[in-house]
Amino acid sequence: MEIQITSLKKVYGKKTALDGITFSVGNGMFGLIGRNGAGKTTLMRILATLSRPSGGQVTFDGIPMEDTKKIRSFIGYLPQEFSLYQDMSVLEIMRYLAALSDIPGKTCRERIPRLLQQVNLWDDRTKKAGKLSGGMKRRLGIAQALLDDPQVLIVDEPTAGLDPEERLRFYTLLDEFSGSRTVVVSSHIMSDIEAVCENVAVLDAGRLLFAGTVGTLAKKAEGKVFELAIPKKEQDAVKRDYHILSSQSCASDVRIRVLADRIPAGCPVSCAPTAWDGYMELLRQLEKGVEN
Amino acid sequence: MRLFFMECKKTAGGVLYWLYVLALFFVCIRQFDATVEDELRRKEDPTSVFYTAPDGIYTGDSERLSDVEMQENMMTGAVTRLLDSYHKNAYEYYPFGYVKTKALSGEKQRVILSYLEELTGMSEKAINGEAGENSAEDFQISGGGAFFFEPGQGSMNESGQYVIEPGDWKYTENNNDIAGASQNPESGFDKVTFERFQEIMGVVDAMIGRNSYFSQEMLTLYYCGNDMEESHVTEQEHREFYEGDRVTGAFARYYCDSISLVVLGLPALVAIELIMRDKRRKMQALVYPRTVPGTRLVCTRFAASVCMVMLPLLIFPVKSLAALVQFCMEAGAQPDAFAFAKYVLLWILPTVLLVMAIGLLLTILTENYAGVLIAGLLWLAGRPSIGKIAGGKYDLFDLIIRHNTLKGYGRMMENIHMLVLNRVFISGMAFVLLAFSVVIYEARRKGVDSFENRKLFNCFRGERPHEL
Repeated sequence: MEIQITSLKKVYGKKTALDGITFSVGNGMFGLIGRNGAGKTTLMRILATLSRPSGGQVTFDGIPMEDTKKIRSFIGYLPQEFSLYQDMSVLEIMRYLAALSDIPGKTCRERIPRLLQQVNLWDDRTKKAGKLSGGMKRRLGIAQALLDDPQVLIVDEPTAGLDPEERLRFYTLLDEFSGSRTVVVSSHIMSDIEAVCENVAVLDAGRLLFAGTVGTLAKKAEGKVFELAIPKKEQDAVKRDYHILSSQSCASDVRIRVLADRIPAGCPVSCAPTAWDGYMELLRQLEKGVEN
Repeated sequence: MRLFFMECKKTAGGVLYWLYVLALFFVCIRQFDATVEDELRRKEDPTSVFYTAPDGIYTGDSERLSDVEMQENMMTGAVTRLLDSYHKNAYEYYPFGYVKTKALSGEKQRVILSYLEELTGMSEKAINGEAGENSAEDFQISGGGAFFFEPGQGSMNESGQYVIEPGDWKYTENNNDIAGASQNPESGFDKVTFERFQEIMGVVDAMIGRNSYFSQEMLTLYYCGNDMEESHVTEQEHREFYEGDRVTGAFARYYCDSISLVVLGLPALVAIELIMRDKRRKMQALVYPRTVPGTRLVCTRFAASVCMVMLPLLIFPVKSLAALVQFCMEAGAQPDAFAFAKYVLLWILPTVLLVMAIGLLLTILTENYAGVLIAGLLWLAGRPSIGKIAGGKYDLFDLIIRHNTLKGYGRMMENIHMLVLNRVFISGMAFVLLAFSVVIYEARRKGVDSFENRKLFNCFRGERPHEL
């Protein structure tokens, strides 16, 4: 299924949350990356039919957003912030949400156990929601989003607050599910997106900075990523002159990875850029533009 | 139906729901069941609704009382009650349309004592029960009736003090029967006029509080030929009780009156709690994108919460109903086994529907607990005036129907058209509000206003959402 977003705008009073963004999302995993306040959640809510755009258009295989009833029949949504009825068990919550999705009883009896086994919650099915850990809640969240066997899955910041192991398990689950479906996942952690998504869009302050493949994003920083090994006492000067991507202490030296338009002094090693580097380069260019 | 039962279960999981059930249980046990037991216990008493005269001759209908008789009736009854309340220092009043008891300060008790002295012509000692063992004091009420104290009555308490209880006083309409009554010139007692009596009652009422038994309205209600007073059952009342109400009907009506204060307020909280659970648990983001139509979801939730509210209303009077049916079987009367169900569904359900619809609408509209405040205001403003307490007086906009007596079937039937119109109107209003709730809920789901973090009313004022 193709999601076409055209000149999408969302305004809250005087604040512009989305400023005329245009891009399309095809089958497979699609990542939405951006800093906090970039407009990711606003876009996700619009895609999930929970918020109306102030301007522009969104279509799902040509079906306009206004046809909410139809769109809701093929989307699944896992919000960034959600909780559950604390006094209901895992199974009861799934049954309740299935009833709200008009899923027939027979289908429920077959699908709910399968989904809970898939997210590794079957053994905890009688546990009350109030007793679930953060990771278990997220897994239950994804199970409920898949209840209606959606063609489009919208997942907003799914790994916030999860430990690395849970994060890996979560993304593996999403990857298994995607196949011929469309999965839109937002995050502010590039490594997560980079690991599972082929296509990404970068948002910042409501504007679209980039939309394309992960490889194309990485190319944005081509020839601009360098690694330097310098004494610790010199690192302040380097930090002042260059955009630091990472730094790692090593005895009296420090190994620093920087973004630079010119080759830095001090025997730098040119590195192959990653999507993270490309993302940082986009932000660097944006900041430079603001300064100029 | 799957969703309906799930919503019922959710409703039953709410704290406020159980608060409502508890309040209802308390009213049923303390007020209603006690009344039924009391009435059954004194069924041979001529003032009990159950009373059947062995010879078939009943007291004349109270409507036949003349104005003077009514004044006498009122003064006698009021002074007796005042004397009793003074002794117990427990004055009943109806601040919210329902009885409460108040104790007066020593200073106010002295004022009451002075009025009692004036009204009865009795000395302070006599009023306080400190008269000698062989005295035959009595007090006379303006209008000819008198209370007298027969020698030999009263008792010694543990400390050896002689005590006269209020029940030791006997009342007689004809003061000629009383030896040495108020004609005694030495007593200096002049009969109190009705105007002076009203003046005193006004002051006493102001001292006790809103709608005391001594207010003009309550005195009229209780002592002007109305069946609120504990008077002998008339033939008409007997016929209405056994033929019109078929015994259980009278109690079902009284039951509805007893619980009216509870159903006027707490069901709104049940509806508010059910809707607010989604907000509190941040479940809206999981519920809103579902395919279920808003109409079905809101109506199912409303129906489930209404059913859960009605359920205890139908269960709690079963014990009393069984006792009443048993009485009927023993007495050879024909009970209406469905009277409670009929009255609860036709008399109480419209109120429950409207109160819950108001709570539902306000909660969906504001997404906060503002509905609690409005429910509180509704509870305060929705009670009919004390003049309607005896039943039979209905207005179109009455939220609840009062009928605080086991008698008065005829009064109700006289105005049955207005009663039916009122209940239909109240139910209709509830469904109109429900329709508004559906429209607003659908708008919220579709993101007409901003979602989750902002309110419908401030979405046009430019506040920022918490999360972009």
